[in-house]
Amino acid sequence: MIISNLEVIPGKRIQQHLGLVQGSSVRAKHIGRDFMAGLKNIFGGELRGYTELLQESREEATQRMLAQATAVGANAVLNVRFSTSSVATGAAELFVYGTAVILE
Amino acid sequence: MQYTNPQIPEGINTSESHPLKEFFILTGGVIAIVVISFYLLIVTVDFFADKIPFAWEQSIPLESLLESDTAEAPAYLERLTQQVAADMALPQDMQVTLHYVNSDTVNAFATLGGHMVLHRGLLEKLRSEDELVMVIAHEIAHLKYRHPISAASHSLLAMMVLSLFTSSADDILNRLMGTSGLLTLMKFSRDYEHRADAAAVDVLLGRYGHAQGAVGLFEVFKAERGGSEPLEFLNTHPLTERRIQRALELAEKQSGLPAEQSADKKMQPLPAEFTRWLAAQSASQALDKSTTP
Amino acid sequence: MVDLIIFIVLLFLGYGFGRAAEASHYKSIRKRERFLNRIPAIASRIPPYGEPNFDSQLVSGNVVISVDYFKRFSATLRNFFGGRVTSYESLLDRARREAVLRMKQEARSLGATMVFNIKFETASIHKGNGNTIGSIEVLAYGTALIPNNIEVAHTANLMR
Repeated sequence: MIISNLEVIPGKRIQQHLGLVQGSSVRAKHIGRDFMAGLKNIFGGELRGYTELLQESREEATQRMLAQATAVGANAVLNVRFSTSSVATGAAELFVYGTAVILE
Repeated sequence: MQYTNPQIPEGINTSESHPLKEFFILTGGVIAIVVISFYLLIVTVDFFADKIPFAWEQSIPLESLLESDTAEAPAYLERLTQQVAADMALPQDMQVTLHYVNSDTVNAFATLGGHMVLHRGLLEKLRSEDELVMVIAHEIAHLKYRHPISAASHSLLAMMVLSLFTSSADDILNRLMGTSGLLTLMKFSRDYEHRADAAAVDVLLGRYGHAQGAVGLFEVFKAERGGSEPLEFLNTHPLTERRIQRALELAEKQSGLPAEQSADKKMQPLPAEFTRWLAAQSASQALDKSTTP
Repeated sequence: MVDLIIFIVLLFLGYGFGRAAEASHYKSIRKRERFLNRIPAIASRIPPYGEPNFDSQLVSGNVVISVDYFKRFSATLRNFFGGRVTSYESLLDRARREAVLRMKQEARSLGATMVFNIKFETASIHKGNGNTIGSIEVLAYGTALIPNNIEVAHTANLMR
């Protein structure tokens, strides 16, 4: 499975477009991380716990998008975009979407 | 190039778990975390609380707060208090200060710094010296075991822990955590009451050879409550019925006398002088009330 | 005690009505998705080459879905432990599919055969008390390709 945010993959021809596929994941951080983040907000610096959490969550969203692509019989997802939004206090949604295609 | 839009199967972007199941697991989890953390905290605090020097506790200026509505206690009460305190072998540096409040409240309590407060309302209900000794001994036992300082530390730490937990959560969740914390504190409070009861029963046995004073006092409470008692786990004090039962069991064990035999032991009456004094107090308060608008 | 009763009633109402609303919404989404399947929604930026006979027009669909009391409380609880907030997943899934459907509906009413370059915006709006989020908006937008004569429409049909 090829994932790319390009429109076309150089040297490969798109045989068929299979439409939009998307993956999303909503994750909350636990109270301990909240507490550490509160401390970090005083001193600044990277919130490592959150970085990990968002990355995990983004990977899960990508896996879900790939599951959709596989289900419709695609072998690549092109023009992939990520978006992050905070849908609840202390929880973030990681959303990824793209076009499922069959490459030759 | 071909453009199609096949139907994507359901359930890829959602989880299958049942919402109610998750709800109960999470609610149970929150309660369990609060209860367990409180439990551990209290056990730790209790370990250190009675190592706080009593002199330090005494230096808290509670006296001015208590003095505001207290009146002179009769010599009889003072004498009885000092006798019971002597019976209970208090630590060297601990002194019990008796305060008497002329009010209808049926209550007695012990607080930080060795202060013990008796309200006229409770004294009036008592029918014998045994019961009075039970009250005094129970409160002194609290002081002896340093319960006031432990309880104060519990509430202080409980508030700190809760504020840490609840900083980001919503109102209902805060209350859920507050309540489960409070119920944990109450469990310890009930344990304290049982300990104080046990110590007081010992004093009764030492003075009179039987523990009818305890039974009598609890029966006064029962009459005061008027029958129905709420669920025990929602209370700072154990059920009166259970307190009676424990007192009887303890008395039977300590004195070797079966409960049925001690049931007909006579209790020491209160001195006539003291009951007269109580009646006069009550009358003077009624007069106060009628003159002040 | 009164607070507790109100809370339980709200939770109960939220759960009952929320579940029913979700089930009927999903049912309607599935029905309309099958119906609108013939208008492919493509996230690619470049429309088919050498097709000059298409008019293009921006189409969009948006939806604001509110979070029921039960879901909100579950999410708050989840906040305590961390992890996957399952109660919000279905909510966002529904909102996003609904937004795409509304966009397609608009495209269909314009006589479009395809929608290109789809993008999403998600926003949480209407903060409830204690910073809890009351509702979310999802906006889907893209460019509808509308064949401008019968011949093209016919070719477009053949392509499917």
